[in-house]
Amino acid sequence: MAIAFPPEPRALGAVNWLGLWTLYVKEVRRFAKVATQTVIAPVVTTLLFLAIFSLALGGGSRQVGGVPFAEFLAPGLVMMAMVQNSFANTSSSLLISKIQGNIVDMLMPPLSPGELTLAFAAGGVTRGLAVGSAVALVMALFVPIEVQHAGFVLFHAVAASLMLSLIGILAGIWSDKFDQMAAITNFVITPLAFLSGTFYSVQKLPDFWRLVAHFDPFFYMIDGFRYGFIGHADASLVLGATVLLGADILLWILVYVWFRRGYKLKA
Amino acid sequence: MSGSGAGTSSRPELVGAPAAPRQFGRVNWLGLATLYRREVKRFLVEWPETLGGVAVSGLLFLAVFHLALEAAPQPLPGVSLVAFLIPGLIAVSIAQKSFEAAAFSILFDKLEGVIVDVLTPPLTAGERTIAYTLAGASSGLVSGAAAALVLLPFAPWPEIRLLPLVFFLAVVAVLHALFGILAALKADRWDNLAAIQTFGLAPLIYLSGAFFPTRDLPQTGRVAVLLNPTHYAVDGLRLGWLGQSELAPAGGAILLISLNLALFALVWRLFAAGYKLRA
Repeated sequence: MAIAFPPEPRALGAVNWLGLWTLYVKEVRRFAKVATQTVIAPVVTTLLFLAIFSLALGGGSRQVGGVPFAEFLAPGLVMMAMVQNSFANTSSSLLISKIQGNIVDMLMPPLSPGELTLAFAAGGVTRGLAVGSAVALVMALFVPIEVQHAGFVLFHAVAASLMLSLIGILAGIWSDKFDQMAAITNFVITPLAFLSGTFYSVQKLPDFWRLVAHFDPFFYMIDGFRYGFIGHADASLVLGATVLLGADILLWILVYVWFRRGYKLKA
Repeated sequence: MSGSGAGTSSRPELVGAPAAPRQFGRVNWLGLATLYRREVKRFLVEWPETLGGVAVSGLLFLAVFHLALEAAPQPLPGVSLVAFLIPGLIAVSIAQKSFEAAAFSILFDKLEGVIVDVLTPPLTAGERTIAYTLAGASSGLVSGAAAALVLLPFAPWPEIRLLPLVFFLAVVAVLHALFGILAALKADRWDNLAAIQTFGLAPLIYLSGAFFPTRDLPQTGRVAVLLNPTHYAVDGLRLGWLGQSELAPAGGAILLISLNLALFALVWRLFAAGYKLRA
């Protein structure tokens, strides 16, 4: 067999599609390989939440937003699982690569900052949507779940997963240790997710806290997503969609800039 | 003591024979205390994050339950939902952190290969069992204290009954520390431990009746709760805190003592056999 000459460098167009796709597939395989931990575990956790809230209510026939409590709660729980897992996917991927030193495998190949942003974000969104679908399917066994406005469901699922994937990238780049990541999760992500109207209608909050809720992008994710199921929203849907899109665009730009500068990634 | 008068070398000379081995009696108290201290310090090294996390999550749970379930019926006669939840949340913090403190450090040491530092010193299996169990339990109790501190202002001052309170605090912490040790011994990777936490510990804790009264559950749910040891611990702790509980405490106390003894014996045996620790 003749010895081949070293191959010619692959010619790239404006976008390195193959590289982009390869990094995306790597990000997806990373969580799919341990699906018990990354997809099934959130399903179990979410069902436990559904159980304790239904049981604590003591079988009362309480209505929230014009539907029984469990039907009000279910979409919020799906959204919570999606955003927590999108965040976990990108943040853990970057932080572990940084700590183990194999982040160079992403920085050396001919991938532009835009391609890095897109591949990581798409990986996180994929995890979010996978978890969300799994949670919704299993939950539908216990609670009547009916999609009324598929467009709202899809838009809010993607916009929210994307936002948390991007925040996860920033957190992964910024953190130097697992403790710092745990602190971000405990003190920022979990409180925002818990206090955003998953478990109650913000209409019930005192004026001040209702105002605060309206500054919390997590609130609009859950509100709009839930509208897609129960046809009732606490806030303006146009405002919600605008906030989510605006936040996604700003975060995207910030991630892009950080990747381009190599902030905390390149010496 | 310098002994440097004889030579020109600046190297310090060895003085005297190597120290004689330390004499100790039937129990290596110093070794036991040292392992205990190391384990507790390890848990508390990042205490603002650790205890802050416990406090925040206790407050979050209290807030969302309060906001979501205002209309729920009183879980116990004359006890509001919030007052009912507080001892439950304290018990949950203790259970989770006792488990984590014991499990994380053993599994970490095992995977990093530094568990030999615990296996080679003159510590018997019993001493190791006691030190790890007490350290896990202490870490859990410190976390429970953090939770209690931030939750106290949200309900009328509790009607403490000292004896059941102290007993059930100790029992819930020791029980879950032992669970944690067993989980860490069994696990070969972090995934295994995560799976045990998600599919084993979380259902035990969340469905223990910490968050809801169990008397109105349907038959199967009622049976499941009565098979859950954490339920007796949570219920007993509630008696110590509020002066009221769902079950008579004596049965739960006997069951928990027996279970703790059995698990303690099991951990002891596993340490003695070097289960998954020695080649």
